[in-house]
Amino acid sequence: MAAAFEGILDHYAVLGLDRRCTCAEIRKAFRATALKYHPDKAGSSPEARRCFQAAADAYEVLGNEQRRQAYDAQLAAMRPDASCRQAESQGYPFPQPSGSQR
Amino acid sequence: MPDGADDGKKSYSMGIDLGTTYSCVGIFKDGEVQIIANDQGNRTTPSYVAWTDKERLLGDAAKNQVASNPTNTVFDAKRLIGRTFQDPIVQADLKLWPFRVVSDGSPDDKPLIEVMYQDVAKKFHPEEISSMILTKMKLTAEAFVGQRVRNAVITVPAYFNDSQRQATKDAGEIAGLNVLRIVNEPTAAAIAYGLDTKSKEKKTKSGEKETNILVFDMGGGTFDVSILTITDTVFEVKATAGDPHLGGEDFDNRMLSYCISEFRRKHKSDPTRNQRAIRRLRTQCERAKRQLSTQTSVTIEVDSLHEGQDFNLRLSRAKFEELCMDYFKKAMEPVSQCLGDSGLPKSQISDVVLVGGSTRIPKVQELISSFFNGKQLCKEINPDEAVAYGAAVQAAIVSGTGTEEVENMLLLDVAPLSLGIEMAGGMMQKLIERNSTIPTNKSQDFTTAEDYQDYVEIKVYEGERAMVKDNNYLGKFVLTGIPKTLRGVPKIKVTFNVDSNGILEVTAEDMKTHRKGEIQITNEKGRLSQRDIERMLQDAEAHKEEDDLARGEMMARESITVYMRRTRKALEDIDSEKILKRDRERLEKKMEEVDLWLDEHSNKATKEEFEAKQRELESAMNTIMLKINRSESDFWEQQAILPENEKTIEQGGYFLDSGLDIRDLIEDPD
Repeated sequence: MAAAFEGILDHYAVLGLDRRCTCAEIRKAFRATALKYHPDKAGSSPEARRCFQAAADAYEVLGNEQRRQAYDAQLAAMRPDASCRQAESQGYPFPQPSGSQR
Repeated sequence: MPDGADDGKKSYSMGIDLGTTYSCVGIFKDGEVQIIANDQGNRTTPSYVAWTDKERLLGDAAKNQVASNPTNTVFDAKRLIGRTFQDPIVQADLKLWPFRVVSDGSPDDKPLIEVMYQDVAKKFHPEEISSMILTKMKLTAEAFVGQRVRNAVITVPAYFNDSQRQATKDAGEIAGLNVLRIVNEPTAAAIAYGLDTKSKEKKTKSGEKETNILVFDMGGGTFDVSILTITDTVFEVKATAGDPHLGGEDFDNRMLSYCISEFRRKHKSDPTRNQRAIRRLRTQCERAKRQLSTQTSVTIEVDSLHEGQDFNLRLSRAKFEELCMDYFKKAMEPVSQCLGDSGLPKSQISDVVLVGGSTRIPKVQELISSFFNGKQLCKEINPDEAVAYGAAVQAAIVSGTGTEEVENMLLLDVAPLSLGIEMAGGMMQKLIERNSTIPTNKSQDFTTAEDYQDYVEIKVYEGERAMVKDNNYLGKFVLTGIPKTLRGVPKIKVTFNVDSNGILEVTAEDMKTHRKGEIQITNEKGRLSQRDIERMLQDAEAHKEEDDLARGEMMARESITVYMRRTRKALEDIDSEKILKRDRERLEKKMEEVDLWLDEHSNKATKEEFEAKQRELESAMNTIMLKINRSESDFWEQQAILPENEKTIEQGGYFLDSGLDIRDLIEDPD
């Protein structure tokens, strides 16, 4: 389940799909995975939860044509030289602490 | 798993549709769903509780005596649940309720319903009233199966927020139920539709046939729209939208106001303060509204309504539609929002399923149908019972007490609102986008904004706007004990977890000390202003431009602040012999100037102004860095000397101290 290209999750592998798959195949694969790993079916084991989350994340990207295109472009861009960067970690600062309260 | 209690008998799990005005209970028994009639023989039960001199009444018994006991008959608890007393919606509803509602006086500002029972004033939370109705539904189910029933799936409007869901779950627990799941009403209705169509199609065996449906669920008090893709086994919610305060009662109120004004006009007296009169009139309005779904005109008659005067009014369907037209039109907005969010074109919606009593109104049907270009609407399923039916199926799925066919089914629902935390500058950082499939779990790393900051305050919000102040506050917690170090160094992992009930839990962990903090968002003050959320969501589109602007400014400000910090650090690190004293001073002066400018302008400057300021600083810095990097600085020295007759910015000209002409920095307008 930890399939990844250099820091980018391989959403296709998560759903057991080929990159040329159709939208209908993506939906079908997600349903099959959900039926297997959804907590209502698989109980609350951490492994099942992880699998369901990974499938849902993959589906969120691949299930939407625009997001899928952007993702494909990202994959294509990193193919030639697989030296690409990890998605930049977001070190957003919290608001400044106010006063002396704790 | 079925709990094997009750003398080894098969245990049952029920599905309860806890409605604003009516509730309904179903149970999966002998391979099918039974909708259960109450002791009065009615398949729906009024969501009413009343206190008389002697006893507490529930359901029909409570509603039947409302005119004679208006102040001690409570209804509409669903319009109060999970809200604060000061919520403008509560304040507006208050004026129409004959029973008394007060604040609990605590900082949480929770509303309490006050009734007189045996000469003593008693106060109840809305959750308690709801729990009484749930108890009534439970008794109904128990009478039917002849044994105790504890497990229940309870439905809520899909558009209910976190606190309303939590409060509904609490109500179930107060009623002594084991709440298996909180399920969204339109999703439950979709199950009823799905099973109904499946049984009719007699298993077409076409493998995985996908159908997209839109559920339009308008009941007594709330309104939801959901779009689902359904197959034989999986019910997948694509998007949901709605208005948690729109339904049949709002139409009743419009009719009521109209009747009151007619009465005033005819009799020159005002019945508004006569609770009994208002109650009697309201009952007649509700009845007339129902009749107007099949007739084109009705007569509303109440004998001796007020000060001995009778009330008599002929009302046409056209007049009723005119009175409520703005509500009807408002209901079309979530339809188009939901459609947009689902990414599906209208043409891909195979069926529009109508649920809830208010969808019987011909004008409502007409508007939906014309929205879908004259589409035939699906009225196959019972609009009053579909939700309880689906809830009963879900109860069987979750508890494993259904048939094989049912137990193979899976419901994939979504979170109705985006969830996030407040970032520096009051921005909303979303961790979970609306319409994300639940359960879901998302984490992001954050850091401190100040040097030596040893705690962070994590404030959680729901809503779609860019700034947290425009969203609904859910709660906060403080993570302490972060090792003191420079800002930006600590790594704090914030995790949002939305369970299958749509209820949020937030945890934060300092990745160095592994110190954790968490909250399950519970009823907290300030978080219940539903009015705000509605407005926010509806405003979100309208305010998109404004939000984008605000976001842009925030980013630009952040960018220049970071740049300043880096420059200052770089300046410290540069070998003193590598930089001319003059240059260092010049840069320091420039930074001081920018600092001052930021102090003065940072709250009102536009994105462009921040960017221009940063470019000035950058060019000053770049010039110096270039000099340092080149061993021979003469060339740059010369560049920095201003041509004669040219003035610096301070002197009203175009040149920066670095010698750069700012006109070169300004982009062409096109």
